[in-house]
Amino acid sequence: MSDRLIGLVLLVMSGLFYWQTYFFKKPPFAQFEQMGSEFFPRGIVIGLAIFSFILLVKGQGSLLPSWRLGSVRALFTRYREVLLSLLLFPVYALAIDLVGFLYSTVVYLIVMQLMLKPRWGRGLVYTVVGSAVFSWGLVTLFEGYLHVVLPSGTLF
Amino acid sequence: MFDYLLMGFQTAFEPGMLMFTALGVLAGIIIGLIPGLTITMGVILVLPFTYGMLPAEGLTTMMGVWVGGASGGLISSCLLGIPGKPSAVATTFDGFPMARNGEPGRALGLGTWASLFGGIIGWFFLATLTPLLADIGLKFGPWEFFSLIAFSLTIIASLAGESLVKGLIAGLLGMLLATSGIDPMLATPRFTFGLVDVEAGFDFLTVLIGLFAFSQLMTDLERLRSPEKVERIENPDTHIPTIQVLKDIWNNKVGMIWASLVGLWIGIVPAAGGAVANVLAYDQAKKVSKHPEKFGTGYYEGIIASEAGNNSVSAGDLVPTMALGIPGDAVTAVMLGALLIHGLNPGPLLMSTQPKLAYGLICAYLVATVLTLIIQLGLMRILVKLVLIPKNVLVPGIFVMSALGAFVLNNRIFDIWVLFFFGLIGYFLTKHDFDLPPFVLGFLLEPIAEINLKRALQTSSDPTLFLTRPASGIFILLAVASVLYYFWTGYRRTQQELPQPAEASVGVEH
Repeated sequence: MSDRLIGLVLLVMSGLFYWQTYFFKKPPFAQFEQMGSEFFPRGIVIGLAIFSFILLVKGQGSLLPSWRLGSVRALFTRYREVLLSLLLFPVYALAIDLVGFLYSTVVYLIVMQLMLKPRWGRGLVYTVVGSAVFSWGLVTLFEGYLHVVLPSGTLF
Repeated sequence: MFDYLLMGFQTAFEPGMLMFTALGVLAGIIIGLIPGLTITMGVILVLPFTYGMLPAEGLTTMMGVWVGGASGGLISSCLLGIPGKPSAVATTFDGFPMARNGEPGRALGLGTWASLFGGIIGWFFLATLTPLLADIGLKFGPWEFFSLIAFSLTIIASLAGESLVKGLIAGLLGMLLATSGIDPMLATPRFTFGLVDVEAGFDFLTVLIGLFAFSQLMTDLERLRSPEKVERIENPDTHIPTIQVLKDIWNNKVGMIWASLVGLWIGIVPAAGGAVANVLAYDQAKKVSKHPEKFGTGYYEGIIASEAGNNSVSAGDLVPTMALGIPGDAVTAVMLGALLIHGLNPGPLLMSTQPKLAYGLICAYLVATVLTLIIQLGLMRILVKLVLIPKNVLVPGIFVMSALGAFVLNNRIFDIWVLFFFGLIGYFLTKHDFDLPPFVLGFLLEPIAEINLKRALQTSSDPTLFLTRPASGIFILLAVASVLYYFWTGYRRTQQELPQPAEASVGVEH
């Protein structure tokens, strides 16, 4: 994404946020307040819009990105681990909510480690055992010693 | 003040406190020595473990992590030639060549002892300057605080990154996202977009975990594709020749003190941080050295300057954070969050209202500095083995720790989503050369800036008071000066890059 395109996106975003400030509700006790809740955010949005405009005008790169199938494939190959991690993390967050911290963490650790470096045989056993011990250790430490309750899962 | 310091030492020397400080130092050293893990990330990762502790225990642990982390980077700098963290870059210039020349123990010893002396010099100023600055801060009104924040943001935007515009955009973006939630003065929900959970706002620490830990992990994952070729020292002899090391330091006492003072000053001034202090201290030590030509060849003065500088900077960083509640960079912003979580309210009133905790923390800094030396000297053989923990094992574990850290703050799954959201923002900004420190400072300082601006204008509608009140006027002038400085350095760079007339004419003749 070029600087100029980022400038444009931020400019549009500033407009949307400015428009949103009209929907802030004034509490009854502050009806005659000159500086309402929108006063400061509007100042920030105006500043953001000004600098986004400068980036749009003075920034580098083209406004329209050129997408080619080859470049998309190359991008996926280059960022494979990043993209897969970005997909796995929300799944992990959902799993914590559903099946609890312990089980979701064990599975997440195993999947992530195997994705980053596939291992079979003894290596796989180490990965599974290491993930289980690490997860169990965290739960024991937090719940047993630090008195912090971790999610047990809404399904259980 | 001496009574308070004595009280602080009594707190810091309690057996339980010593144990927590030592654990923090050990964690900090380990995190510091692993390339790719920064001190900011270390403080973020250890913080959740302190939630269940008493405030004094939690704070001394965090102080241990910070001080240990500042020193831990020297191990990978000396043995791998890769800085464990950005603030140990200059240690590689001489530490790695010295280790390669067959003196790894001397290189590690010099770094470890210089860290101690740099830390002690820094502590002296931390203990004396913080109460003085807090006294000055007590005289500040809302005008001064608003102007100080404006100065902090402009200087960090102009110094921290390559582009002033991008720095200011990052700062304003951080401020804008910080306004989400309930208005601190009128209790009106703002920018909640219909989400009930957002009404409480985004928790500062969750935002930090996302911005720094999550986005850093994404960058690490990218590097897994093209791992750096590491020319490491195989089976290094980690025996430290203590007498020789202390002689080296004695012979270079002026350079070390000068480097420590440079680091301290960089720490006190907002924006620059450990990485700049490290390189600048190295550069300054080179200038005052009798043998500047030896720097970069495995010369002991280079290691001493670098490590003394990057340890005293932590003390300098703490001065404005504790005295005024204004952090100078990302890691102090996290430390500020840690102080807030444990019930300490940094600012001018801290030293007078909670002297036991405040001075206990200052004294814990010194204790942690000494413990860093003891732990590093005692465990060096084991520590050098930890340098090479594989990233494919490390990264998933840190993802889990980040999610855990976000969750346990408020016991809400929603915070893990907030972490993810800000992680994406942080990664996107980093990929497009926007610096994260202005974003973090903008996010952290927005409520203080808003409250003080409104208070100032409610007290008097005359906006010229921001310029006519002396301290406020100075901060505004400094803010303008920092922007002008940016343009001036840019102009000078452009002038230097332009071809000289003589060169140009030579080009034409050929």
